[in-house]
Amino acid sequence: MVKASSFAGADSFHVVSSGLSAKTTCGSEPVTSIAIPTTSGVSLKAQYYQTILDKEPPIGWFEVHPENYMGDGGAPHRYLTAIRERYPLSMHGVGMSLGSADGVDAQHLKSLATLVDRYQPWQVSEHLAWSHFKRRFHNDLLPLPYNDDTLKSVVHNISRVQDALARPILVENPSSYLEFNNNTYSEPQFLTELTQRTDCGLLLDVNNVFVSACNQGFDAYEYLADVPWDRVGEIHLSGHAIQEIDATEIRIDDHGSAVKDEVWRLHEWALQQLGRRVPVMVEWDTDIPEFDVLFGEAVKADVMMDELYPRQTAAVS
Amino acid sequence: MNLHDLQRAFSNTIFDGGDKQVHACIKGSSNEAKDKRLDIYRNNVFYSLTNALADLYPVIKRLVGEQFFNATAAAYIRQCPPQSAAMVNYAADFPEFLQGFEHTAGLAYLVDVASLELAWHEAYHAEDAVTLSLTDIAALQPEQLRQAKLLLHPSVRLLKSSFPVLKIWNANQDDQPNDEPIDLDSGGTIVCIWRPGYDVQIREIDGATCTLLQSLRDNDTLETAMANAGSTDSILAMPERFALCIRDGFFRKIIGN
Repeated sequence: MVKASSFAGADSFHVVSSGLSAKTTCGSEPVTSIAIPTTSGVSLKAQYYQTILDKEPPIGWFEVHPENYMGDGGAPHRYLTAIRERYPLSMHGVGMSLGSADGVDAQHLKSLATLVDRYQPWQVSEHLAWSHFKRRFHNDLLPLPYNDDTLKSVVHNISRVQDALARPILVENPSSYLEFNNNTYSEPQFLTELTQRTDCGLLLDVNNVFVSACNQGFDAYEYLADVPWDRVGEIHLSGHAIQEIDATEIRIDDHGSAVKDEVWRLHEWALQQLGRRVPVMVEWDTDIPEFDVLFGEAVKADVMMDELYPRQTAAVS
Repeated sequence: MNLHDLQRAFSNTIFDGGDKQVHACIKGSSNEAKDKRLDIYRNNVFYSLTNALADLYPVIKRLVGEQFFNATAAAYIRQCPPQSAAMVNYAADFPEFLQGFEHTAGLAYLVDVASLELAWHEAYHAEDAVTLSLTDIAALQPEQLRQAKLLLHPSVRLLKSSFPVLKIWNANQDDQPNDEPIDLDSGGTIVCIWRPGYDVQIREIDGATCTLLQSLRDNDTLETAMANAGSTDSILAMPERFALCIRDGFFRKIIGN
């Protein structure tokens, strides 16, 4: 198990604001300095590659799904390499299946480790979910019951990933559409247990909290009251869709629109609980808009952050 | 139910539906209400995999139409669930599926068009490699040239079809679709798909070039490969067919003498 004293984004954030870099171990190299971004980032989509290289927009960082770069070569790697030369990058996995009872896939973990070594992301994250059962992959984030049986599997899987990457990861709270009846932990309690047992960090997806709260009928603000704030290393925001299913309103986490006003309000409240700056990322994965629309969402996130916690200006040498 | 059994049951519900074991594990006012919630996951799985399939096989989708494509995709997803989390590895067996699927089994040209699309996808994601140049060849002594073995570029894919697949493929590209009728019996073709830089290339090759490339892929020397290809020219005369293969970037390097 990785015994990391800190993970990128939380306590190390203060180091960054004083103008230094966070230190983390990467691959076989003992220590590599990777700066944590001080402004918001957005999803890196293939549609944006050329615009980003042509215009070099002033954005904090880009986040990719590493699964999209698991081919051997070609244009995806060429663009990612060029963009990585200009911006910090984080990797947000969707396929590790941290919740699988039969463990994480060795080949997938190896592929991720290779990418992490090559691109040196400032942060690596995954989801509290499962997506494969034996050799059958579902390409979706499926829900987990929160009890000791699940805790054992997820702790084991997170530790295996952190060992293979030789760095701590962040784990994201999922959006869910159903609830199991054998839960013995609430989701924030379960996440707290994970962070304590594995030293992983938390990627708080505020939109997911909102979506799950609507779908399961709990209070999103009460949920946030139980979040282990000291472990939060990144926040995600995104849009979601509203569907009517048999006269019941269901929120679908489709990342296909602007962040909703209620989610911005919840985010502001979350930042107040957090009590410090943290890297914020706006996701957009379906119905992808012009780059400037997504960029505008990141600027909005920056304005909110700066108002609560002003940016420290770097000392001029 | 423990997590392992729950995931087995949940996975079966997603792909096959109707597993009552999962109902017993989730909250809901009725089985119908629980099914509505499970349907969201099922829809997400099928929607995302259908999209992944359509991204890889856009020409097939255009040829059969969206409705038929989606129904075919649903059958394919049930029969051949992904074996990897990385979608770049997904659906390499789709051409084979089309061959056996009762509603497409009679459309033999579809299988070849799907194979062409798969070859394009594989070439697009293939390992980057510098291509062998005429200068590299020119540096060899005559005997070295005769005995040289050439490694094909990692992106090279060869496809033989008894249908005009390249014509069909070209007529169904999004940027320049062409709805002129194509006579399926107008003759077969051999196509090479490869990516010498960052753009995938496709061109028709003749039978002799195909044999030459296959022979080199099988580790034959240039002299043997030329003979297999039915060439009476000496390799030392740099036959145009071979020179063109070099100029197009079909090779990666000389691997031995």
